[in-house]
Amino acid sequence: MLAQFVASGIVVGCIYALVAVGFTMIYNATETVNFAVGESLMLGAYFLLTFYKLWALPYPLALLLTLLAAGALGYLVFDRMVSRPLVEATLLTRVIALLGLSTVLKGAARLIWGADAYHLPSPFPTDPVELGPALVTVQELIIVGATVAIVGLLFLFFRFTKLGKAMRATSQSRRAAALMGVNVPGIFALTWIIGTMLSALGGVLLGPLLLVDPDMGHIGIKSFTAAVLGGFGSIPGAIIGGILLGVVENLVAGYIRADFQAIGTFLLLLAVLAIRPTGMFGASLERRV
Amino acid sequence: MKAALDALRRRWAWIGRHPYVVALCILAIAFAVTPLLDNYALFVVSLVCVYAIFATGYNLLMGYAGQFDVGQAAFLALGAYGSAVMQNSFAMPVLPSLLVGAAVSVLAGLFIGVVVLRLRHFYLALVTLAFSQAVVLVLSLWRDVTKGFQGLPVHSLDILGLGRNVSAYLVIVTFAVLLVTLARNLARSDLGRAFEAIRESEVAAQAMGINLVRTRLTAYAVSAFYGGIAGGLLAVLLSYITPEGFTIFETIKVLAMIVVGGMGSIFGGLLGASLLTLGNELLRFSQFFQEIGFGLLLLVSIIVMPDGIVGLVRRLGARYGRRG
Amino acid sequence: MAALLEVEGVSKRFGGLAALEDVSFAVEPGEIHALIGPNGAGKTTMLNLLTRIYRPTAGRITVAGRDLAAARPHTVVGYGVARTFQHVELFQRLTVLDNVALGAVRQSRLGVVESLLGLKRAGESRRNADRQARRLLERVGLGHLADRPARGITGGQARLVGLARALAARPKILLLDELVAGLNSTETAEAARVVRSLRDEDGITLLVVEHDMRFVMSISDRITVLNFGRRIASGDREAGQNDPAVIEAYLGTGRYADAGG
Repeated sequence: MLAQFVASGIVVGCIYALVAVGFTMIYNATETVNFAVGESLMLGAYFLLTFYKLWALPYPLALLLTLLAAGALGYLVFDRMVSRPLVEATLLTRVIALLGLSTVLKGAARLIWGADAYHLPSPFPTDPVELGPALVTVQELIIVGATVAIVGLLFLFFRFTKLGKAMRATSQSRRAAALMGVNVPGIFALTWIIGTMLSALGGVLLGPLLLVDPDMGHIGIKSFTAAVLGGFGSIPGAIIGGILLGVVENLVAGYIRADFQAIGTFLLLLAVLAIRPTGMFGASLERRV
Repeated sequence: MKAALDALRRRWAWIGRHPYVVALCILAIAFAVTPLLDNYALFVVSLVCVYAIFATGYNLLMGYAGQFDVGQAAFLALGAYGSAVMQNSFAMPVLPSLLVGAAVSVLAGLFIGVVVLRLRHFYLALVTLAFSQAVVLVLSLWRDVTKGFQGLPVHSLDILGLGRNVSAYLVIVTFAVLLVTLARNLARSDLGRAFEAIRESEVAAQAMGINLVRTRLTAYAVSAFYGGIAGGLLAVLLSYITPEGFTIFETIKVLAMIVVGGMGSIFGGLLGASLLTLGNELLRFSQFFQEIGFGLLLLVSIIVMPDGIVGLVRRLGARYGRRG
Repeated sequence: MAALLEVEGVSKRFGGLAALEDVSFAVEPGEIHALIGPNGAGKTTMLNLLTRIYRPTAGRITVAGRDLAAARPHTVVGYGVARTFQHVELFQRLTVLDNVALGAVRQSRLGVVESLLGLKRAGESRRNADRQARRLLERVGLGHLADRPARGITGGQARLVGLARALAARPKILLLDELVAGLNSTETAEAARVVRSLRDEDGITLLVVEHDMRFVMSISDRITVLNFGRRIASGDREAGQNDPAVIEAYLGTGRYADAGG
């Protein structure tokens, strides 16, 4: 039983981790807390739904189009319309703007796709596979595999490519990076694009596990919790935080009650902030202020 | 032009010095026009008053004291459910049940205020948001008391046999005028300035002798009280409440109200509450237009006029005042 | 005469790092006492200890005979200690007048019920505070700025407002944190005049934490010099100027050379 809960928890945790990584990247580079990350996830699921189910395109093409749409969303809406005008504004202002944006996106989704929940079919088989004492589906294995692959790609990107290094430089010091010739606004745009794509991917992977509806974005609060748990501003922390959160949630759901998740998240958040506010690997928010 | 502005300013200052007089006048007018309003008009004005109370409390916490709380919906919910449960389970009459609901809300406000004492900025927002979601979840799961998603009926008021709608209207308007006047007093008092001081610089405020903990908790308690009363009154107005009526969207609504009207200005909060509630009523047939509308207003306002309408007017007034 | 401020054997350690080690000095009533030292010497730490933002790891601090050990950051002002801040920390969105008036606020006037009811008591004390605030602003030459929002004034003006704000608390001893950092020579001279008049006319004792040797030399009666968290010299200002340890401490920064002319 325990192994089963842990295994399922890891699967969901990978999704939280992906979204948390995107969120952390955005914070590190632009010092913006993306309160609309849940809605990016939700739109990712809806994009895939549109391309794969409603337009009946083959999965790889649908996935590609979803990523492109997410990237466009990240650039046009998140970067140009919201982030850029507020680059010099206070954190509070930016959070308020993103809260507003999240509501707009939710309403837009309701308008475009209707308020009913959709089932998002998955191209991956749901045949169970035995993994020791636990039973996972092929689809779940693919989720974990995809997360590992993406994290690996990101790692290589940040470590070895010029662009990746430029992004890391910008995260550490905007001014220094600009002085070294880094195109900071361009980096911001790229960060938003990649971050939004990651959230959208989270939606793509999560969609088949849940139902797709406009309120799905409340998952966003879990990626915040994951980021806080792992240590704010730390990408490895976001990954570990996400997985840990998924496991803890599943344990709570399994051993206590399934509907207690929101309470569990709240208590976990309180515990982390009370005991070790910097999370496992991160630095405090104050250092940026 | 300058002379006209000066005259306006003097008139405004007079209003400022005699809040109770003005309040009584407004109340008298509100009572007097009752026969002229049909049921729908009574409902709309009552709704505006409810949100005026809610927005004013939130304004004190967020606009004045600078505490970035995103969980106000919890207070609304606790006020509504607190009073409804008292009515249903203990046969309490409506008015006392309102106060019980507000008391529950204040306790929650103090609780969350203590919890977030060491937190700032994003962490505060995150924890208050999580708290709000947890509260709504508890309300939906505690079926024995709250009947969960089925919802609870709320008793109506009947004052002097005037009927449900008129009674609700009279009570709600009275509460609104009273609470907003009190809030204005608070905002202009030393405590109000202490709120603003802790918003601007905690370390300087402490050096001046302001007790950070006590001041913050007071701000939380006051905003929770206002939210709780607003919740109880909203419940009376709607006659039936369900947990789904208290999601984060309620917080977003009231946040939009104070941002558009002007954070840090009681009148701004009132203005925002009136405009946006009326606008919302015009769009009530479609949830998505409501969401898009409030979201866009919030987004656009914070980018283009972060000080709200009041801030904009003040800035324009300063510019023309100098030229004239 | 007993010293107004007594710092006895005070140490402050952060984990393994000793920011202050066994520092002692005394400030006599009515004197202008400078606390100087190069960057990182521990001056800011000492200030934070004096205002109870930090608690000392060892040692004792007394003000007018009262031990500060029981004080909290917001009760320090009740012991007669007020301060200005290096980064001024004005309440930006309030008016200059409100900033100064808040300096005199007392927690007893912050009752929630009285404030909600707008009772006379709250209103009257407010008018008194405003009157006193205007007078203080006139004192520092900024009476004309009273109704301006605090964010619209210059840095030099802001320093003086911060000074007026600290004075509103009617302190026995005023701690000045790098009052003249970044000011030009005219502004510095003006600040020196104001500080001296505070001592001469109002009888306020001052502890001036500073880098600028010229300013320090022009106003202080006695000097305590810190370096690496320890007191390396203490005495009247001529002694400090000529002390070899002090010269050595400053030599690297070249500031002493500037002050010498």
